[in-house]
Amino acid sequence: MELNTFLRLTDIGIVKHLFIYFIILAAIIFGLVVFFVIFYSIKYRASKVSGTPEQNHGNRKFEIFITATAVCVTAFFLVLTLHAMQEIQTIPENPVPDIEITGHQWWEAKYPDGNVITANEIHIPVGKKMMLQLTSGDVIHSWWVPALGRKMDMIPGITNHMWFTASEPGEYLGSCSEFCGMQHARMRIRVIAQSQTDFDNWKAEQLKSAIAPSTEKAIMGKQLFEQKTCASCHNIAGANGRIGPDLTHFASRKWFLSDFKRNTIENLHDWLKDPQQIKKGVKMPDFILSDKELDALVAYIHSLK
Amino acid sequence: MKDKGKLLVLVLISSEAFFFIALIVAYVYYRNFTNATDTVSANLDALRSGIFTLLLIASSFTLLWGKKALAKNRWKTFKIAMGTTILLGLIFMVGQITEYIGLYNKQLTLKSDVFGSSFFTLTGFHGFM
Amino acid sequence: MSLFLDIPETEEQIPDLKTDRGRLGWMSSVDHKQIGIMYLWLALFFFLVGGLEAMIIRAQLSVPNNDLISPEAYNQIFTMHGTTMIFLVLMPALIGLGTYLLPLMIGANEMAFPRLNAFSFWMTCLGGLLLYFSFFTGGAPAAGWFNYAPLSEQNYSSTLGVDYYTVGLILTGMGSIGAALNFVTTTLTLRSPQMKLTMLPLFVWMLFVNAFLILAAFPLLNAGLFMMLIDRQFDAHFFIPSSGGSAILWQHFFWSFGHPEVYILILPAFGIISEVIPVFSRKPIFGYTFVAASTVAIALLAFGVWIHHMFAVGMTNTVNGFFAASSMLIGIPTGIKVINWIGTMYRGSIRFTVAMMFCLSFLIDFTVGGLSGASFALVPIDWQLTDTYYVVAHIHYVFLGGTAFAIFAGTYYWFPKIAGRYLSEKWGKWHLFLFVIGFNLTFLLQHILGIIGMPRRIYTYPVLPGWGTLNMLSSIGAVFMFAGVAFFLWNLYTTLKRPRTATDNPWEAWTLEWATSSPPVLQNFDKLPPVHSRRPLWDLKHPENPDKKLN
Repeated sequence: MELNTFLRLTDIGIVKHLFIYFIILAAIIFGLVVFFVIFYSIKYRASKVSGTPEQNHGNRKFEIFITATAVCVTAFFLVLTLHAMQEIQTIPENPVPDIEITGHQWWEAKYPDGNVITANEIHIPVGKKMMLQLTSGDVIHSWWVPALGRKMDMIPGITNHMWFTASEPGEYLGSCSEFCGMQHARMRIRVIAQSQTDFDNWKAEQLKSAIAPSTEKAIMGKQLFEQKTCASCHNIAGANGRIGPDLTHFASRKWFLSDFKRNTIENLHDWLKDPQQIKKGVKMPDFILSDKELDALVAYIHSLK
Repeated sequence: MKDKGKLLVLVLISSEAFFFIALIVAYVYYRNFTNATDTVSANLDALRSGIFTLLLIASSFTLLWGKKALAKNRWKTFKIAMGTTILLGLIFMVGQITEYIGLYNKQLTLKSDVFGSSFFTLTGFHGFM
Repeated sequence: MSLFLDIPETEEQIPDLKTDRGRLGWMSSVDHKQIGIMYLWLALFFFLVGGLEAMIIRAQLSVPNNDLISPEAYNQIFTMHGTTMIFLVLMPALIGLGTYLLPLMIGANEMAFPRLNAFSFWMTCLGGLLLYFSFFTGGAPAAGWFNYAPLSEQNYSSTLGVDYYTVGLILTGMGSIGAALNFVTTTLTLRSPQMKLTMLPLFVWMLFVNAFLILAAFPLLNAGLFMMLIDRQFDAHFFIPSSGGSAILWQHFFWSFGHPEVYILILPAFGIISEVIPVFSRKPIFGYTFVAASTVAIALLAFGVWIHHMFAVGMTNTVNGFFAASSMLIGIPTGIKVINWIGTMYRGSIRFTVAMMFCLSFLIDFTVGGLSGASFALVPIDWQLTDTYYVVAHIHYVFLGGTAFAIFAGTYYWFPKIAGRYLSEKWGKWHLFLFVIGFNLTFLLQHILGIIGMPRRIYTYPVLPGWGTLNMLSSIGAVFMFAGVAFFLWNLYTTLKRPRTATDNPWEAWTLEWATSSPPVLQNFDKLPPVHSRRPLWDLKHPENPDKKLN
């Protein structure tokens, strides 16, 4: 609706307005129902009414009037709804996505412009309308960050598109919104909206190849990473593992395990020691690592900024 | 409608029609709304199936003939009509079984692809019901 | 052996459970009254099971990051809770009341097909048994009550749970179809010759229209379930995207059943309300024709709205827009009914029995449910709130605040007729107040939880502002409901021990079931009063002011 464009409402603003119109109508209807149920209960209670009441069978005119009013109100809301849908969900003929997100039991995110591949922590620049492309690599998931845009299902075999905008910088939380397996509850989303400069810097950092390990422990960790076949599932710029999240810049992320645990050395250590204990049902096997191996791997992975 | 038995069968068949509509929709969906190529229809012989179908339909007429004969106590006619009905039914089944065998020999099975899945499910249930 | 069943002698009583022959008599019964009672006991049993599942869910969710039960257990429990409540509680309860009352309300002595009637009941039992047997075979189904593919396919759900789900629901579905066949044929062929279709009590009318919904919708579910079973057990590819199938197709099949199903669950409830409110307002229903006609409108529209369960799937604005329009329209006939029920109270003489008070609670709480449902028709709102606790709030307001309250109202209202005794009004009030207050406490707040971002079907949640408090309050409400149900059970137990003292028509009601003893003898009616309007017993009692003659 021209009104929405005139007011320069964001997608979320449009939905909020629509919801407010709805709440007003709902409050009126609900208020009337509650009022009349209570009022009639009190006014016409049997102890106050003598004898048998008049056997009124109905009022056709009244009913037709109510039906007609309801149809008009419905038409009004239909027009509002259709306009809002157009505003929010108009995807160009050949969409060029800014981010391609694929759902697994974790989030895979690819930025085609520049070929950045990351996992779980999504960065976007503030003030820009981003186009997301959504699909799934296993079961149906659904992308939802309430403050930034609509919910959209991620279905294997189908590619969906939606718009996504952050007007203020900050961290925005969301969650997978279609039951996807044992740990659906722990498949959460964190979107970090930054100024264009900061975003460009982040992107440039992500494009750099993995930092070579410098400490002795970290070097040992890198060797273990290759020996223990971690690379067959996880990519660290070069290897082709795509089953698990890309770890090239793992240490630059604040949370891990789909926004479940803070990315600290202790948490990473506990995770590698016994993944099923931390997040039961994940695909990551327990490699039964010795304490020394654990320390080395943690040192390596935590150096990957 | 006063005959509750007839009404029951009519309503039951209408209800079952919805079951088959759903199975047909599955097949139509794969054909028209996915990129898959219909492997089954390319291998079906419409003429052959059509002839067997006509024989099956004929058997319902012979059944009706038998029913009318029975009502008039024409025992011999009834036996001929029922025999013909059963024979026609058996011919149809043989035709159906050989059709299935033919498709299986071409590697078109329930598990070959979506068209195999939907074809065998649809025709199988139809036969079963 | 004769193909025809004997009509029992007038005076022959329902068999006594205390004797072996009596017990066998119940198990082999084809009498619609006994079958109706068995359906109700089945529903009560599974209500307690489903309720315990709900208590476990609320206990787990009462605090953030809780580990009371494992995610695997939780996912099975929430799946079973939904499946149980819908297919093993609400359906059997409504079908049970219908099976008991429909012949009585139309002046018939039996259902049209008594053996089909018994078959339907026992299929429902078997389906329930199989569904729960899954717990012993490695795990109950854990993919949610709507069982989306490909999560529910063999590679992601490798226990037999989903297989038992499909088979169990196919069987209960066949039971429902059998019951519906009986409702249609009985209403059309066995009603009192004087009773025209326009004179049907509204409960009967709703059951009749509802039966057509069942007959059209359940086969769609069965087709989908068979395809899912064939996928899982015979390696077919119906719903597996990676081998050419379509995950969305499952959703289409499921919801083209699922949406009519929710109307199947509410129409008989509307029927109960339409019987109880007039009696306890001492006035006929306001606008019978509109209530009856709006029912048909709902039934027709019910098949044209299912995409509103799939607005977030990513279909075009054209498709979504069409279904937004149909979904908004379907709210109108429902709203008309609420106005008619309130209009019945207008200038009436209202008796506050427990049955009536459940109706009043229904009016208010069902309206909340109906309104939250209508908000989903406004598609962009759905794009925010679908799959959140706002939906959970909505469904419980319509299923519990709607259907379940109506079933409770019907139970208190018809208990004297069915069991020959009156449920205690005193214990009934404890049941009502605890349950209604608990219910609103639990579910009203869940609207807010959905709006602030809590998705559904999660076994736990992180520490976020408001989530912990709202969830804790919601769980406390569940405790109140538990207490309310305990009072209801106590009421049932103490009442059933008393002798049968109920009169034929204790509430001064007007439909034919009240024209025979409480409970009726096996043959139902000895003789019928004349039927010239919708309220034959009113006409009999008020010859100076009868209802308009309709035949």
